[in-house]
Amino acid sequence: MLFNSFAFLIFFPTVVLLYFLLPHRFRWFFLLVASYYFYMNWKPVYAILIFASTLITWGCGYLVEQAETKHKKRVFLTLSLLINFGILFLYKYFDFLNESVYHLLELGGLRWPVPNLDLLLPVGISFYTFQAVGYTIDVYRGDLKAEKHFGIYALFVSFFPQLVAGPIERAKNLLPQFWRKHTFDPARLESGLKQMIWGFFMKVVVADRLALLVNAAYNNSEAHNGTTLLIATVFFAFQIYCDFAGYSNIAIGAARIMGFDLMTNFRRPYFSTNIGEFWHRWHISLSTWFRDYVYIPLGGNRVGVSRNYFNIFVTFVVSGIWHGANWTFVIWGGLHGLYNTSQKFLGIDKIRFKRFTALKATLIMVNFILVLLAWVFFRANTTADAFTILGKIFTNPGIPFKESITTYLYGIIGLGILMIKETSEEFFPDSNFFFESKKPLVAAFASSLIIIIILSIGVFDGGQFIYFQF
Amino acid sequence: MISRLKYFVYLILFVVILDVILGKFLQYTYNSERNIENDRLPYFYNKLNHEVLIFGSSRALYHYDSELIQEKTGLTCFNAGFNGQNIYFHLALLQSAIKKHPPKKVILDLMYIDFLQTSSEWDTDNLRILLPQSQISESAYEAILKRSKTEKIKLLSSIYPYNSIIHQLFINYFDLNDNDLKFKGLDKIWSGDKAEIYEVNLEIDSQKMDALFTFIETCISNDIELYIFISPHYAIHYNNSVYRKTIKLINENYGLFVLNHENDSLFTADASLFADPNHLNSDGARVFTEIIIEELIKDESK
Repeated sequence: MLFNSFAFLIFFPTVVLLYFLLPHRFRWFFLLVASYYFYMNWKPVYAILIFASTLITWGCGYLVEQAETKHKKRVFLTLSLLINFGILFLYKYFDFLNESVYHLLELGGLRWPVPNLDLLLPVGISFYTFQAVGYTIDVYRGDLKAEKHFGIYALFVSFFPQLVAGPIERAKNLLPQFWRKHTFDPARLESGLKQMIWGFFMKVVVADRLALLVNAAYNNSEAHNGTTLLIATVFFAFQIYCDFAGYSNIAIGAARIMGFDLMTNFRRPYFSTNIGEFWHRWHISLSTWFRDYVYIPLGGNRVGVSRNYFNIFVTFVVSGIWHGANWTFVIWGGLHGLYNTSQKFLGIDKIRFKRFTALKATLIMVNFILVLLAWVFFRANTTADAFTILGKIFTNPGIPFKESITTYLYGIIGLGILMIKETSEEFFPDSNFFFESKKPLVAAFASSLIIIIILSIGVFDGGQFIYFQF
Repeated sequence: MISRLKYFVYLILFVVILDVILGKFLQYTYNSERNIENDRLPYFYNKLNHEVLIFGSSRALYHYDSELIQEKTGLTCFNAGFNGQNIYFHLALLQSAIKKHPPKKVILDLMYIDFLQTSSEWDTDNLRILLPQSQISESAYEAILKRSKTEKIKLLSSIYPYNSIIHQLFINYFDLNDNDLKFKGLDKIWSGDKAEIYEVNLEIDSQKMDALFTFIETCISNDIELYIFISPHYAIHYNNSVYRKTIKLINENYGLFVLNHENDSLFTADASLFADPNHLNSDGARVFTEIIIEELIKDESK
């Protein structure tokens, strides 16, 4: 079930209403059923996989806690990691690896006889796997007591607002919230609804509109000149941001209405002055997951400089691989690793700004360009396409493709509104400007304008969220 | 409790009020088109009173010279061909036209998108052009519902029918050129090879066939003389049995002859009559329209 679907417009209010009508002791079960119903709307049989992951990580978490020796704890942790990542590998990475081996051997005139599995990637598998595995690791480290109630734990893994595209929650944050009794709070309804409305705006008005040019250009890059491809790349930077942050906003807003607080997942990333800061603002739940479960176990920054740079680079490459089974994502991750280590080497990550200066503006611009170059690899269908596109951007200017005036006109209007809101939040966080007004009348008027804009220029057949493919 | 829900209450009120007011304003702007060339659809729904109507896709739009038909037959003629539209669209327009001012004759330019399964682009996507009309025309509303199950809900909004065309409404509104019903053919001359058209495993779409039969039956039950043409392609057709099957069905069920000029050698031997393999240019349209006129006059003289 997509957030931007009619089915969700019926599903969500119904769930909220019934949730608050039910006695507290039944709510976890109701939410669990609702979450599985939400997930099974895609392909019912894949509920078996999420259930299996839930059972294994819960069981292993329990066994880890009960184990008397460190060795036994490690065995159960390893079991949890192997099974869960094994399932993820089979569905997401087997064919990619298989084809890579095939092509490699083909170069040497050898045959690779293993066929692809051609398995359809279950929606959200990367997200719930990481969330569930994170729980087992936290129990192993002693940061968290194992959850004894299987139903509550199952709800933690499958909680519908954040199930298919995050935020990837930490058990320490979310699990206790399922035990607490939540009463209906009009203030939460207001702030949650505002966030959902803004999320829909980002997705339907900005992301899906910009996608029209991006798809036309990137899916047929040979036919377009460098100027069109550059515009498409800039559009993609905002398309992916608004698509993903839009989803996160809807998820966080929906959860808040029911009384749950999910972690912030995006914090205006394009205002970053360096890549390190970018990753503190972009897909925060994923970057912190990699920091805590990959980077720090590798040694983090508690090692020598060169080893530290190695740890950073590896973490980013793994992050790239997480995003997709394609060499383009590996290169994308590698580029970010390179950016990060280079900026650390040059000391750019240490520059702090007390106010907005020309230098800050320059660094924001430079950082945006670096991120943009990496986005080419993220969006391109193949590495060859990516290099072709980059080559054309730098060597083949021309008149931009006339995809449709509505794409440019409404895309720019959407971007303009986005910029106004984000600039206000970034530089005037206490201003309570328009959308954030404390006065219900002003805030409601602002929200209603956003809804009217969605109805006027939103793309209603834009389809699913980009991060569903991960 | 109500005071604590102020935001929510204000939100609903503002959305409803703004939606209704803006929707009405956009409806007024849409129907106040100043230049028919900019949007023939409001003209069709608001001012149509022609004796001969032509329906079809862009092939109807560019192949049938309505002025020539008017001149030679003495019957007023309006070309209601629209780019990318199929039988669902033509049927909606026909049903609407019959309610307002039934024509004497109808010409339908038939092509494969009218009865074969196609991608959504050639199926129901393009019906979005009827959204503004869905508020005033039942047939347009029914056609829009074919797009998706959620259209009914979206159409509760007065603004939604004008989604993504608002800028066009204002451009049209302030365009003060005179109304223009003149036929505008294509000026290019095709210099390439013939296209090769293969019957590529396309299957009959039963819903489209139903719509096509409804179109025919609507004409018959309203005493409208119906002419179905398949206009020329600059192409070689390989195995177009599905066309022949469809033509046969129409003939068997309704006694109607579909005048098939798809492979007419008068056209397929002369590239200079085409702007591209799928469309006749102005010269080609003139030649083809003369053939149409002969059929129209033949029936008039009976």
